[in-house]
Amino acid sequence: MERPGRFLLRLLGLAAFLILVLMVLSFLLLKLGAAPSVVLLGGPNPLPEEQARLVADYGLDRPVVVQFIRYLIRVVSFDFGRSWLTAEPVLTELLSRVPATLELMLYGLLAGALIGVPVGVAAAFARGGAEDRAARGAAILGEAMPPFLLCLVLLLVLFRWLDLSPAPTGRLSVVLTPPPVVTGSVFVDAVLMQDGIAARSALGHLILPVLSLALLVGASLTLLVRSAVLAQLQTAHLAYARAQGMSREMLTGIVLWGATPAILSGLTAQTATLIGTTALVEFVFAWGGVGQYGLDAMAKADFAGVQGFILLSGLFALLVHGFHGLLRRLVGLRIRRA
Amino acid sequence: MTARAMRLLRGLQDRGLGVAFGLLVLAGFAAALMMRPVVWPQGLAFEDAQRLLAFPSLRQPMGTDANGRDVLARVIDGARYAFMVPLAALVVGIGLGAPVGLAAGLRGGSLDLLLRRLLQGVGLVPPMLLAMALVSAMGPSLWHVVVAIGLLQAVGFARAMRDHVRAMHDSGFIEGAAAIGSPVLRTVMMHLLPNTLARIAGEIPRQAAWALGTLAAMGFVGIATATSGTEWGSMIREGTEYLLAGQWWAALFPGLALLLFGAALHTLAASLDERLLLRGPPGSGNSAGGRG
Amino acid sequence: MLLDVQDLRVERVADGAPALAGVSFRVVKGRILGLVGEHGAGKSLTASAILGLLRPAARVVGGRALFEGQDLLRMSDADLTRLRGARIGFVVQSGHATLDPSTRVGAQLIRAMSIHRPIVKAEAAWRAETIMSSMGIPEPRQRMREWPHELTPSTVQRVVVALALINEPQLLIADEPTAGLNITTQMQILDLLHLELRRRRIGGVIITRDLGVVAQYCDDVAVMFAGQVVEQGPVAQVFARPAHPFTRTLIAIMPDRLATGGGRAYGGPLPESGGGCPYRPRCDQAAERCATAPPLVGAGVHAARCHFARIGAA
Repeated sequence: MERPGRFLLRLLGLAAFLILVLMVLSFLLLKLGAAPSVVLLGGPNPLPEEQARLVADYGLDRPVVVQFIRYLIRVVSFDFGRSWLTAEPVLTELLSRVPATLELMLYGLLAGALIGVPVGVAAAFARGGAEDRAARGAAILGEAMPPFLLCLVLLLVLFRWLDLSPAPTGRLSVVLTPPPVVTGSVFVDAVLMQDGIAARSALGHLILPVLSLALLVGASLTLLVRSAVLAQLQTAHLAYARAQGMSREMLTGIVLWGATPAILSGLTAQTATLIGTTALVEFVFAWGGVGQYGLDAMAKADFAGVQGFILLSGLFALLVHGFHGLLRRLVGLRIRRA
Repeated sequence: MTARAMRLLRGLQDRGLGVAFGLLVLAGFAAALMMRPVVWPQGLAFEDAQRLLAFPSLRQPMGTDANGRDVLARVIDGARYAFMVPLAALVVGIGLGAPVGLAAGLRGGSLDLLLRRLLQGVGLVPPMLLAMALVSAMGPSLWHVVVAIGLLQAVGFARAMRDHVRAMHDSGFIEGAAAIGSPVLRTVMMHLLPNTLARIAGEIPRQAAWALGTLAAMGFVGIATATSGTEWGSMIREGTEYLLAGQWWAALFPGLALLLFGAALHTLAASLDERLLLRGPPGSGNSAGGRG
Repeated sequence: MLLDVQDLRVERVADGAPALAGVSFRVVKGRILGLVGEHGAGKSLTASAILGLLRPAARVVGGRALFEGQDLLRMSDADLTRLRGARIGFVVQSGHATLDPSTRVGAQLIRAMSIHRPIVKAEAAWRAETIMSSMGIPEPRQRMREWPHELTPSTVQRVVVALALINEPQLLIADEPTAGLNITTQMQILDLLHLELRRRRIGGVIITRDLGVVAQYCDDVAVMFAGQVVEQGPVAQVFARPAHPFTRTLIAIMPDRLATGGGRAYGGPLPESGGGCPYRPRCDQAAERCATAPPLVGAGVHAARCHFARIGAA
């Protein structure tokens, strides 16, 4: 195994290159645009002085390469431009919305795992039986289900018909004032402030979005866990463990532990792209997270926002993959080679 | 004999049913799509001012939307996009991705490395979001949607092709063929491609399903406004406010069509996988699939 | 009598094809039985069936396997689990592929003990170290901290033997314990097995393809062919006066074993299915009556399934 210092250097180099690719990508997005960059950055009808400012700032009258270098410098100095919709710096807007998205993703992942892992394991053990086929059918349904449709169906049933859930107005009821920001999670902050009314409202608003995400994540996880566990069940060392007289519980534990690397890999891939699904969920529920912001920016052609959002999504995925890689290295000794 | 027959039947049912279901549903959509203009020529444009947002009835089995248009007719017509866009995008995706992957896999070396890193970087962004951003930049026309989705799929196909070719290359298969005088291109055409085809056969319907989902998402968010005719995602967008008020049919029926179509594709994919892939390691899927 | 297997029948679930067509043999306490036959004869399958470890593709459809007065084939999985690894030890082939790759060696030994009875960690560690050392593993304490993939094949197989013996079983079943090892290591492992079985005065079954192993290390032999035991008896008697044609062929080529790797007796036309003697396609003595199932011809402990068998004859 190569020295940790060398490995870290290589990793950082790779990360830097990938970030560069991301920046080229988001830059190209602007340049690929049908409309001239002034419009994309400045809105449908930019005022002359606004146009002039944009041209000067972004170097729109210079060659493309120069423009890219300028863009690079701006991004590295944390200047993501300004949204023409809100006139606010994009970075500020994104950062202020990150907690909302993280909260939703975290709960969604946890709840999804709570659904997906047991069902997947049970399906693998049932192997061809009725439960297995039912689980696989449900998983296919989950994969084919458009996220926003699930949200709408849940809203229809639980909000409109059964009146069990609040209207999709974001993280809190519109009539209440949100608690001061401590953790970024409205619910947690309300609890910290001992604001019972806000806390209850926040909790109620959490239920449907989290449920939607959980069902979707759970469906994908089920298939993943099922194949990982099935692969383990067929290994020679499991048969030997049985020959040694291990009980079902112990064998299940061994199988799960052996399936963990595969599950983790799949989970990583899921998480990296979870932003997309979460964005749609946020969109339906007006959640106030980065996803909603990004989708709104795309719909309204607010390109500074779009660029920032795409860059952020890519960076997030990079972090997730990097974390996973590190985890594997650390636990690498425990996981078999070949 | 009876016990054996039962076992055989069950086995066939398990495999055949999936493919049958998938193909049947798709055929049903296609048939409905083609027959509607014949059976019901005016169903699409007619706006029944007397029956706005009417609950499903015998005359209008899926009800009417806010403009009085018959939902069933529009849902059937929307199947047009469900067939066209994923198909066209696949053509773009494979047409662009496969040659690139092939070239990189065969050449190897720094070209291959560069491609891999590039694809890795691009692959970091959730494909659906990137496709949406592309359409948002290029403009909301249907063609742009196809290109954007196709490009994202090309990333996956390029990677899959490259991996496959590299594996064959490393196994000495290509060298061996060259050693006995077989021209590389011939080896590729006659052995590599059919092999690859069998392996990705299950992936194609899955990619089509992803394309459909992405198209619908674009329609729902309002990015691909040029398709807002009867594209299911846009129909859902238009019907959302009424759904929240309790008049669910205008939004839900297109949604069900989406779900059914997608489920058919996924079932097809799963069955193809089972038939064609040996029970090997899990996760041979890749490219622009998954939730993103 | 330690293990009495009577007419064990196993068939393939998918189409009912018979995999074991009536296997019978006996293991006596203090003696070692060699179960020998070619690839596909059903030796490993027999062991799996007895231990209740058949893959879902196969199932037991007849016979008995009496161990300590109980029929293993009729026991619940929970009861069998208690026996496995405790009263019946199992030495598996290719230890490097079957040892748990994600647990250290010492931990696996300790685990093998603790799953069968509550034991203090310190005592378990001491026992593990002791048994490893008696297996001839140098620096046992160091080895205990290592992972299976870090061990040499010889050490791995010694660990496998240790795992099988650590709970002091009454019966040891070793399924081709030396497959994939080089000659020297093979002999070492077999010597070790033999020594331990003798020392503890327990019964053992060694499954092998190599008649030479049987000759050298076993007291009794059961020759398997096409899912049946075609001859069984004390090694001395069977080798001196083999009654079944297959056994005779095996013995005949034994001196050449090292040269040809024992290949000559094996292979050839497929065994015959249907009612007759399965060895018929290869037998040079085959006659009309071999179309019917041969009877078990036996005198006391030596028996064979052949129409022409004459026990005790020259």
